[in-house]
Amino acid sequence: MALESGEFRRLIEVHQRMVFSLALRVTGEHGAAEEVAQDVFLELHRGGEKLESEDHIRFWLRRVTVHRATDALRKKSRQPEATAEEWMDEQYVQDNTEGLNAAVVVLLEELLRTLPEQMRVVIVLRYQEDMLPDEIAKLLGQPVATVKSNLQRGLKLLRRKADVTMKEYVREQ
Amino acid sequence: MCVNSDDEMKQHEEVEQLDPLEAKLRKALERVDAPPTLRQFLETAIEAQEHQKRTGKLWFRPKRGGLVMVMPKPWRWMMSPWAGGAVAALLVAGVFATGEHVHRVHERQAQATQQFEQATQITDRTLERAREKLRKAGVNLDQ
Repeated sequence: MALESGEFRRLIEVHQRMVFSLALRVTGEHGAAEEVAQDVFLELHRGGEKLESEDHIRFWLRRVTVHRATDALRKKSRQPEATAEEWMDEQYVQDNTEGLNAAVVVLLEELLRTLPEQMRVVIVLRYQEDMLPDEIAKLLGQPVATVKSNLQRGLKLLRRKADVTMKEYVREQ
Repeated sequence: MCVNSDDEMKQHEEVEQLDPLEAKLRKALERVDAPPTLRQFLETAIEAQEHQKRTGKLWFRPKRGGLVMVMPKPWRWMMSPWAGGAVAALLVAGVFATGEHVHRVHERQAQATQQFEQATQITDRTLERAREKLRKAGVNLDQ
């Protein structure tokens, strides 16, 4: 049963930033993110009456957005780096949070797009949606240990890429 | 703990102690505004649905221009990637099915004609025998 128009408009107003931002950070592209957001809201319109509460609606929107965005990402011909492991070698710099500065904030969203899909998704859910690992695990239907592992490895990878990027930036100055 | 609005998120950041990378990640991943075209698209979809419910018509002209078709639920499978192949398969099956149907109709017609002719022949022979008997009995059938 389709949602009543007034209620649907209200839900768009409340959740469009969340849905679009999630789709954008997972797909890495504005066009793809907008298509995903359209599909998600149309699906909500068709079947939203079954959702019982605001929390349920939010959970449902996050889950459907992540699934559709990862589907869209997989369909793209360009794949994110599959060689994440080579960045994990000890030859790269040690963790050096002191080396980070404000410029990294600008680069981080770009660097996020280079992460493998699973790491990207958990980082976005953790730091954009502020979800805890057990909440992320429930949303993705994965074990908590898997989520924590992807989170830890994703952060490590991001930290190293950010370090290298900043060192190159400084060298060029 | 899951935060839901942008304000709640800022408050949570103050309470939770994050390392510098995590803090920068949260800053970099702040929610952004959806483009106005998303809202326009969804408004058009709502208007089209309402129009279709009111009038029963599939075609709809939104205020912003263009033409929209509201695909009724039973037809939505046509939007699937495999729909083209399915339609082609159905058409081929339909042609063969129609041919088979025509063939069977002709067969039945031929059978019916044959049966009628047989019946007619039997009737003719029966009548002839009856006429012969009557003639032998002296009945003049030509009057």
